[in-house]
Amino acid sequence: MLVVGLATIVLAVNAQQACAVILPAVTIDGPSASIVGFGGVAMAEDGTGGVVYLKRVAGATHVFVSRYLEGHWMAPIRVDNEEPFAASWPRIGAVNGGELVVVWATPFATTSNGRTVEELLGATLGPGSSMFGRAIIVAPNIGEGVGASPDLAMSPTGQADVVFRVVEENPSIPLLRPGDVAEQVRVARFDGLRWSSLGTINRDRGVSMRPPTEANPPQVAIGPTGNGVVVWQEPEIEGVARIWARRIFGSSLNYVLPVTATSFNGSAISDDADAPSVAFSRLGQAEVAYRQAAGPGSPLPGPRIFLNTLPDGESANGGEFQGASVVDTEVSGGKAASVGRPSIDIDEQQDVRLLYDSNGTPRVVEGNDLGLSGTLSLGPPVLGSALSVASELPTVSVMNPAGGGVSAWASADPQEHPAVAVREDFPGGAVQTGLVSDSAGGPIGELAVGRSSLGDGLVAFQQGPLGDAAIVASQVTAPPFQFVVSVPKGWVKPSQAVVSWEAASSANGPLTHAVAIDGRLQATPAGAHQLRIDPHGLGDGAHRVQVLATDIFGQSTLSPPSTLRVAGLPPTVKFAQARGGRSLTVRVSDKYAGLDTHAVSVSFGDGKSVRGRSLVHHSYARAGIYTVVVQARDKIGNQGVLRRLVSVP
Amino acid sequence: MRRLPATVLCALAAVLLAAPAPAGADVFGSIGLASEGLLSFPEGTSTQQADYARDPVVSGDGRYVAFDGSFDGLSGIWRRDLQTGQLRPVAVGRQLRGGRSGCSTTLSWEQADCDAELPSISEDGQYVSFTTSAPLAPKEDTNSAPDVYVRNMNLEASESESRSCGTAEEEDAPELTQRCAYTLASAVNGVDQGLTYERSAGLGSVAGGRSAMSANGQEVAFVTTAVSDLTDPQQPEAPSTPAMQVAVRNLASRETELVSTRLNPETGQAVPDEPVSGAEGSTTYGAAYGGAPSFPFAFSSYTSTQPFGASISADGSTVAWLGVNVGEQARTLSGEGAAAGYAEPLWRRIADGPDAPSRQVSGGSDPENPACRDSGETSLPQSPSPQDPCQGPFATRLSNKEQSLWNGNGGVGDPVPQLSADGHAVAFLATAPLVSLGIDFGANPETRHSDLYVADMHQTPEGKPLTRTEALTPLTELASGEESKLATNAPILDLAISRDGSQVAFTTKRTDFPLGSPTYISAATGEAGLAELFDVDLENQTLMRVTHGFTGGPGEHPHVEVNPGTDPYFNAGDGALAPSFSSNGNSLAFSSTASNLVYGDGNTPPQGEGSGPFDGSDAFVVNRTTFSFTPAAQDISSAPASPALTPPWSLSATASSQRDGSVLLYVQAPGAGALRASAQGAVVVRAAQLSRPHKSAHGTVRRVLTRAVVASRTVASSAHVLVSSAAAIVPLRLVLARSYRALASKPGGFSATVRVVFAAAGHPTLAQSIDITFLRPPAPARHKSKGKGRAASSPHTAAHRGSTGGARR
Repeated sequence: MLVVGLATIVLAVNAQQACAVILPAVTIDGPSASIVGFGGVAMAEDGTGGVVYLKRVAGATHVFVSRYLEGHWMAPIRVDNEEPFAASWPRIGAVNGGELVVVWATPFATTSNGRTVEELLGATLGPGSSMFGRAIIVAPNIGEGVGASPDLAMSPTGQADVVFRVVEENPSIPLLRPGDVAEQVRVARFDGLRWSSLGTINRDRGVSMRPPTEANPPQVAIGPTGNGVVVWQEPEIEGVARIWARRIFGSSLNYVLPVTATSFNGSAISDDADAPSVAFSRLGQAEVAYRQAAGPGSPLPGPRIFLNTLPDGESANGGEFQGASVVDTEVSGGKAASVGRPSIDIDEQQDVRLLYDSNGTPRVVEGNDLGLSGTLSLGPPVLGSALSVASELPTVSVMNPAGGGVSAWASADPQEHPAVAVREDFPGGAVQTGLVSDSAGGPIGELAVGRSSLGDGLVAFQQGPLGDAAIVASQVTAPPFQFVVSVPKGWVKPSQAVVSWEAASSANGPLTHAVAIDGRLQATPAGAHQLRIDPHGLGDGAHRVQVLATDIFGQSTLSPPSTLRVAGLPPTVKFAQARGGRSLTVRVSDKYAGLDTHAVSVSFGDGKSVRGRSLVHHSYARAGIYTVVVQARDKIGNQGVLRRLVSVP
Repeated sequence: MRRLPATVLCALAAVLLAAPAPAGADVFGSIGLASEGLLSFPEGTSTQQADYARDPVVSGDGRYVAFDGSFDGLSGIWRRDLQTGQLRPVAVGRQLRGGRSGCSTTLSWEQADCDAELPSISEDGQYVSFTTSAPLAPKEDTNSAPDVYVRNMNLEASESESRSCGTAEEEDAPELTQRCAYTLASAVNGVDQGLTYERSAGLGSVAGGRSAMSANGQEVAFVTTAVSDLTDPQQPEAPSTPAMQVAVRNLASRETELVSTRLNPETGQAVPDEPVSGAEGSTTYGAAYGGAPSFPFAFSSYTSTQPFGASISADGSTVAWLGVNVGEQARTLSGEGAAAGYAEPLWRRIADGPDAPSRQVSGGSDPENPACRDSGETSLPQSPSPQDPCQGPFATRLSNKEQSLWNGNGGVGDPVPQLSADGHAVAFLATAPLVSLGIDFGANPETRHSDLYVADMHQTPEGKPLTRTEALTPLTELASGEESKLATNAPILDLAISRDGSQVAFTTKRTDFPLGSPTYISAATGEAGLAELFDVDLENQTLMRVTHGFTGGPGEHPHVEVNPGTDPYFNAGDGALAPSFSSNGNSLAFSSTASNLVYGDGNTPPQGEGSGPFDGSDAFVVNRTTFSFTPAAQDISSAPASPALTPPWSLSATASSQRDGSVLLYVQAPGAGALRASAQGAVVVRAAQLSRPHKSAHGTVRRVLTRAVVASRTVASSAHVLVSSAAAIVPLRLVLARSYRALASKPGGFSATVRVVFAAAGHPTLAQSIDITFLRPPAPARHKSKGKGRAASSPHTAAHRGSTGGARR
């Protein structure tokens, strides 16, 4: 198995080098009867990351991770090295430098009555480490772990929040609805070293919760400062399940905020909302999307995706959501319409991107402070598989901070073989699409996407049924991020023409850089961050300087043009004779660096000379042939001597 | 940079990677309702859903499902053709009203009551076995006791045929009875005459549901529930064969064989035709587990299948049953002395002949373990130890009291072992704890709920039997010691094993499956509800839930509100029951009382209004999804073009004076074309002119005068042709023409202006002018410093390096 795994990774590398941007999917592990769970994928701001899944080893299920570093998937390694018992609910977060944080559930005790109690554990893979550290306790008792569905959000500074559910064993509260459960939604925080509990966040622990499903797990998002927002589904006392949110300020929880619209066109919404998705901006603005069911009697024309905004905490209205609104009013099918679970992301400009399945069509809604910009149909249909109906298969989308983003959803090729459709919208408006699949095929199961702050994305998914599944990943690589190029200010001599630049940021390094002068690439040594321009052929004047950064996949970014002003010529001298040749006018000028007038001297060859003037008139007294010698210098020191024979008749 | 090929590769990136591999899958598609279909009444054809349906069994070829149920007031056994949707009566009649008993192959209101139930079906669906108290072979079946029959679905029991069958029965002519629609299976060995029973209401012979018939429909296993003349047919007036004996009837040879024979402990062989019986206290036990089950069974709410019967393998070679009087039937430790009521699954390969002994499938001891034989141990110690070579997998001696592998399971569950096609894989339920579980959290073995196991009855390659511990694979394990907690401890209710032994289906209300192998891969539900159907894939070692509502979620039907933690479905067997596999293991038939497995389930009684068998149960079929081995071709559209460098169509040149008096030009040319440079300089020339005419002796003459003037001349030139379309820096050397070469040696050199012209087809001609100086420094004197010779780099001669700002289109 190990040999197969290594071979897979080698194949992956070879495949990657053949193409760029959306790369063909590679098989991380499987297909194998041992693959029994998919946990997700994460990507740090610098483009490192990993995928986590469950694999059975010697009869027990354990957590495995394949790390993504410098554009390559590493061989999978086991996370729960010291845990003998079966693991479940793995989740992954990524920090810059290749650091990974994984949480999972595992049994830790059996009570006197034989009930098995599970705990939530976490372990960290250090930036330079090749194996995970010892597991530490995230939550010491999560009951039997049924429906825990943890969601892990990782900040670029190494802090993390995890939200999870704990179904109570022997509830004493009345159940609002058949099938309901007594459940706590809890949050724990990671400060980079250890986990601490932030407690239970349910709004009202006296009401029963909907039974845990894949469509109603709590979600959390975190910003770079460690603040974040957690959202979850919880019924009101009347029994209608709504979406709620709480801000997380470091290690303290703020008050509960209602997210859901409770009425539409003046009529109460009495159907459940589910599938919350949350994104959190650097400035603290939260965007929450959710799916609102529409049963008989609902004022909604059909199920819809709603979006609500919580302005950043510094703003005057940052204390409450602005109000949920329907993102797409034009959904056909009425109440029988099929609307999938939404996926939302927000970028540094607080632009949002929301993806969902609308009657099998992948739709994107984009928006900013001015509002939503409508829906965009992305391409191949969202198709269900033997593992799930289309509306319950996840669609996932993340943003490119520079614009556009990466979207992925379950689909199929024209022969109806299941595959994952991937689409990258580039900042400049270009689009690339792809259908990616494991080499063995099979229905698409779980699907997840992670993103860097550089525009890269990792799309990972389970293909084939658990028990005969493969863990598959595709990279959606972005070209190197924009970078700064420096050229000398003002006019310089050719020998002083030196271009320097910052290394471009990229998840797919190491990069190569090449300087282009007037669109012509110059030989640039590998690893150099500055280049002295070859003066040969570098004529006087303003030259356009750019640096082309190219990653390992051949994707390039061209820096914005800078102007390099080069002057290597001494001032220009023009002679003019008049009055039958007796009178000579000498004009000295320099249209580039400018003439240093004080350095001008003109010797007329008849024993007379003039200094310090750029325009000189001279009359010869006698006929003859004279050698006029002009010495001049421009303002950057280019000086020259020009000899010219003048014939005076 | 060769970016183009990479881009082309991207554009053509339809990547088909490695060759596909076969894919097995534990995924089932949507559930279909089997207990509905087209009924052809004399008045016409109509599509109906059963009022209730239960005990479904799917034929090996997956085409037919037989079940007992009720349509339009007619109850009994039905068979549905899954391809055509046609429903045909196997043996139906009016629902029991206490009238005369009889079942028919036709749909007619003029019928007697029919109590047929518990069907099994042959591979091709032609034969269906069942149990009924109706005398369907009246000449042979002369009592009102339940008997086992086989219906040949290729024959209709028309009136004339009935007479023919009657004649055939009278004549005891097998070639004629083969033409009868119904054949009595619970018959005397060698003849068609039915068994005679000691009179007792509701007792006779019974075939277990789903697994009583071999694939070819010729062998039927049944259990006598009354004292019969099974082994002493010569005295039908005084039957003496104890009740609860296991027998197999071969319809082709008309042989009925006692399967549950006594073991000769001396020879280790079975004693043919010798039944077993024994008493424990006031209770008498036969060979098979079960009290005195009174037929019919299904005239009440459907909560569970009946806990007795026997299974026969599809190849007819093997029979398994939950045995009592185990020590009489199979090898046990000599000093074990198991009580008569002690129950263990037993297994006998009847294909090996009448002497082949019955064997323990699993149990508290393992007397066949060679190590046990060698140890001389005669009985198990009070405390079970895994190191004891005679210890079986189960702890049956706890608290100084012997506990059966099956404690009754609270009155629910089907303890009849199920067999793979060759009989070597045995799936069974057991309530006893495994020895390996230790103290088992102090669970009470008398109330402990059942778990599911598979045992391998093969021998080792050396011909030795596997130890029972080696042979056993637990498929479920109680997740707590709280027997009342359904999620962790609900009993396993019913089971089936596929023909190849790779799949095991079972039903339970349990939701927590803690074993690592098989790994539970379905999402666990938060609370237990109706019994659901599960499937274990022994090849992939996975366990998944098969049943679900048509909108997802668990199975449901109307129920009363209950307090948290209380089972809202009061009946222990409420939900899914009676699974059966087709031969390839890809179709599963089952019954369920859930009302949300299919859209439009129309027979669910309102909450609390169901009565008797009308509890909303239906027969369903679900097919395993088999995936295409063909993967999707990876297809990635062209990547956006990399940023383009757009060099301007321009000319740029620099020049430097060389020490040899030449000038070296570096011309940045934009592409392919002709490059030419020519230097113009001012030089002194002798100009000739005619003098003014003056008179001389020869007349007026004009002399030719010469004088020095300054004139512009081309003093040097060079040219180069570029063939590459790429921009390039071209060096051009300008050397003064011979007549001007000396000028370079003059002090300060010789100044000139060079004009560089670049011409290319389709492009405007580019031209540039640069001031240059041809300078040959004087030969350095030996005593002179070297520095003075570097005129080209001195400030004085800096002007020799010229350049243009570039001419652009």
